[in-house]
Amino acid sequence: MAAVEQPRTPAKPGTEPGEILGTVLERLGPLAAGENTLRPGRAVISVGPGEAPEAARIVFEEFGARLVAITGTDIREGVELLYQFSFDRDLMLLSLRTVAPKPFPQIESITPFVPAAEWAEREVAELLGVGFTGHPGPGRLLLSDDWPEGVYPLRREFRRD
Amino acid sequence: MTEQRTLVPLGPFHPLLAEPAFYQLVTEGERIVDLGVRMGYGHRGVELLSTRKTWKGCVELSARLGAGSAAAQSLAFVLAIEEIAGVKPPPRAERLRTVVLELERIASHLMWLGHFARAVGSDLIFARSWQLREEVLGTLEMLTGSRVVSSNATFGGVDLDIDGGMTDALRSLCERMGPEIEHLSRLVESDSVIAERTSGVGVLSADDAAALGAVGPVARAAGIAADIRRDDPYGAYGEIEWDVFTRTEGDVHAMTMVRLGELGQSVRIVSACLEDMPTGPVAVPVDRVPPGEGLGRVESPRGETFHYVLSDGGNSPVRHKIRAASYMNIPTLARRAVGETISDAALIIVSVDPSHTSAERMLRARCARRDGDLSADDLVALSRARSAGLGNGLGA
Repeated sequence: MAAVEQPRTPAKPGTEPGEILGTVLERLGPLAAGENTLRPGRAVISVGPGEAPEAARIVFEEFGARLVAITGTDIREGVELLYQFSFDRDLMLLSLRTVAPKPFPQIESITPFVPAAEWAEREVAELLGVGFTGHPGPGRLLLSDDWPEGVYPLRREFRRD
Repeated sequence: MTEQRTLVPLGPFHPLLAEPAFYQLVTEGERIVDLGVRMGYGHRGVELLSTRKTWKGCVELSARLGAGSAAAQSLAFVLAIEEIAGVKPPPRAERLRTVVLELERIASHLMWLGHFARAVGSDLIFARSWQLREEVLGTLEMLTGSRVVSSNATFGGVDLDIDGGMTDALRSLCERMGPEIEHLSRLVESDSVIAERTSGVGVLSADDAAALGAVGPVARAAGIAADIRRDDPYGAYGEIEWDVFTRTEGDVHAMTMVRLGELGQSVRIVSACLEDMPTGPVAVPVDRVPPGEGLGRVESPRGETFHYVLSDGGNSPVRHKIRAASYMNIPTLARRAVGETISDAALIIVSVDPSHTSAERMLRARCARRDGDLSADDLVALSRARSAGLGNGLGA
């Protein structure tokens, strides 16, 4: 059998889920426009679309959080973006919530400093029509090459026919 | 003088790949200098489809995202709903969920081991691991009614209880599996060809694993000790003893050893779940899904799978986002393959255990249309009869 090795980055014993949230909020300072915790270990911090990339950079680079997903949702006035980060050692899942306003939702790409975002941003771009400025390798990820330009299947106005 | 570059296409349809995917190897002679991945051949728009299903239908849809992770995918969705509804399943249900999840992990890792063995040319390990997997699939069918879409999670608990006979069958499976898995591990460890072919090949550094957000055995082999079962516990993982396996080399060999170690741990977890199994109900009723948002994540055999659900209190999700483990692990290939030879490419690709269908959210299910509707019990009976018939050599 393979040997059990001591994990390199386990949670410190006695860590309470989400107790790091206060430290994160303090570091983000004025970048954070609001905070809304669903339950311990499930935090949501609202940020403006201009501030979201910088907030993501801080969470990723300074707190060592892992990017889990970028969830885009059409909420009529814009596309809501949730940058979902896992603080594995601190037992917390943090969503940075922002809205890229319509009619042309656009936001700065975080891929240059969070490589894990490469596919996630391409996917949000093609399914919801959000432009990620500065993305190093934009282009289709899941949709086929002959999918029509400007048709976004997860937009509310999308109709299957 | 630089050598001429050649594009070696692997896919989109290739005998080595069970699912369509397009790996583009750029080579100079035998050396890989770049690896591109073209995705989307299996994309079927499941996230959109999900918003047109009933809540219960979404559980079934989630179970069909990819072969080999039905229990994990459906539970991740169910956990998100339970978070919205503020429901906690009864203790017996937590145990039963854990049993099915770990059997699924055993079946998945054994299937992976078979693929891996074929790639390194060990037919013995291939045959033994898949033979063992058959036993696990039979047990999963007994517990859930299906060999492949074997999931028991439902809102508030599980949808099938187990009886004394099933418990005995599970215990005896665990007793047999323990020594079999040790034997398989020894076969792998003592094989000098495997050691030569996999040590130092396709190395993923801990820094790259963190930057790319790698999950599951791929990350754990690179020294990242993340495991959702321990870091964000669900089911019965918080109440029983088990170990997270990590290695630090990050090569194909380490990924193999991590999965072998996890096989043994899975047997240990299933056995522990059967001890002092709580009695009582296996589900609490969940009448409706209130407005709100929920996040569910489960350590599937390939790593963390993540579901986000937004509800407005209606009959279907407003948004159902799915991020499968392979979505994070496939992008590690580009960095790992550069500098290796063409002959290592297949091994490196196999080492992440890629599930393209779940990464792309393809729907594998085909609805069987027959004259007259079949009930769920009919379908389970049909499936069991067919398996039993095949087992007896009588055919279906």
